[in-house]
Amino acid sequence: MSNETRVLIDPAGAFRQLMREPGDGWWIAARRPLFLLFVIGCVVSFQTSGRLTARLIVDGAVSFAFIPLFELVSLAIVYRRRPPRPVSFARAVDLFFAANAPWLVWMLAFVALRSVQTPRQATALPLPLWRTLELSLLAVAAWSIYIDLHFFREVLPRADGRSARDLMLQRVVGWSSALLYFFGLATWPEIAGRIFR
Amino acid sequence: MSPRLLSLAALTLAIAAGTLADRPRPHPPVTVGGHRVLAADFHTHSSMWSDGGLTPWGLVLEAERQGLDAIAITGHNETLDGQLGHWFSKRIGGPTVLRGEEILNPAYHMIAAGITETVSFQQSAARAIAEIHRQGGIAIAAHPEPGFWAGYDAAAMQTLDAAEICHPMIYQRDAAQRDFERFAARAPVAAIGSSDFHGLGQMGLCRTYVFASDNSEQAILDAVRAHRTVVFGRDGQAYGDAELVKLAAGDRRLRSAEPSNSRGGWLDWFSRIAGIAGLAGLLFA
Repeated sequence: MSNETRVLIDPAGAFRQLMREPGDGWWIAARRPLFLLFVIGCVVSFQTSGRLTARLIVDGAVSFAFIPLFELVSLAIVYRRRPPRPVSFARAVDLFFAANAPWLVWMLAFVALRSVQTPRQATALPLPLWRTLELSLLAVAAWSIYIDLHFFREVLPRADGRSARDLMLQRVVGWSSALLYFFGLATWPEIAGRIFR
Repeated sequence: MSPRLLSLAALTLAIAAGTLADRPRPHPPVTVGGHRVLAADFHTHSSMWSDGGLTPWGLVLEAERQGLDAIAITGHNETLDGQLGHWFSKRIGGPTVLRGEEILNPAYHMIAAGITETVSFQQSAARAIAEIHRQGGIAIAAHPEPGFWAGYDAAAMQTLDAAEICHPMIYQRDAAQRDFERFAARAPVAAIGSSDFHGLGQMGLCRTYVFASDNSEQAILDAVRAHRTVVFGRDGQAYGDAELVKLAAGDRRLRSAEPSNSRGGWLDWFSRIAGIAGLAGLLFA
């Protein structure tokens, strides 16, 4: 069973066990962010062409490199604020990215759906299916919050036990930066348009 | 062999098969009635601040693969990715890239194609069109759903160059095609087909056949201004200049240039199945 599966089934127990594993250094810090990027590249390739191609995987990974980047920055901010630190930063990064497992499962389901669609169905997703996907993202976000809360409790524990604050800081920094980057200059007119139209 | 190694092998084979199948569609130059007919997609978004899935240079390569002669890269209220894509395509001798912008105003969405500087979204549609024209570009109403009609007042409709009549929405909502037809009937505008490509699905699914003198940016812009376009909508219905629609109907090459809705051949299926199995193996095993 992979570490991601263990995190999905029993996050607290999995993090406690994984913290005891040996290993440090740049590869430990880089391997899971790179795996996340690879999976995102695969999703882009599937969505655009209905298959895996080297060209689209690389392009998708470059396009979405901001996601692990902002995750790393937000984790670094929380990590710096909370001495003592039971694990090295490299190990913290590795375990934090293992907590992305719900998103990886969602992406796998998304490409499985794409694999049976025609190009037209993939481009113009039926609206009920589109709404279902949006709702499923909310469920995955909630699942991810639950797992990340266990990460902060087990891997970077606070003496006062208020790990939810760390989680909130990480989400505010990491997610708001990523959303601002992705939706960019269109964010405000788009929001205003949805409210006032 | 461990499950992890098996998964890696499956993924490697999936990528090899997919890359082999990733060949550009052949699209020899088409001339009809003395015009060079160019397949164009005037509404594409990159991952640089416009919630797309591909980089600006990735859009150029994808356009080539989809048999498109021209695209406009239309950043949301910005033009930087259009500039990058334009530069890259020139370097590799790729499709004609028009620098563009999708102007997102709460009251309207508008494509500005063939511009050089960002057009402010904080102005009326008529003033935005005037600014686009000052820069030598064309203004296209983007997916003109009824909620945007009020944003295009009489002054804007008088100077609007074109409107999207084929957009992926027509395959999502039965009423969308009729809505776009009703909008286009408000003023004499060129018919446009655009995919509003964000990385989901197929670029050029909806495309515009531009009857131009050549494949230069200027020739494409001139042709749209002169309404020399043909678009195939839902159920294959043709829209555009009546004479050109007749010419297009008598020439099978345009219909056969329309994008295929097939799920692909055995290499595609192998890439999909092995890819999903490989990813699942790496994730769970």
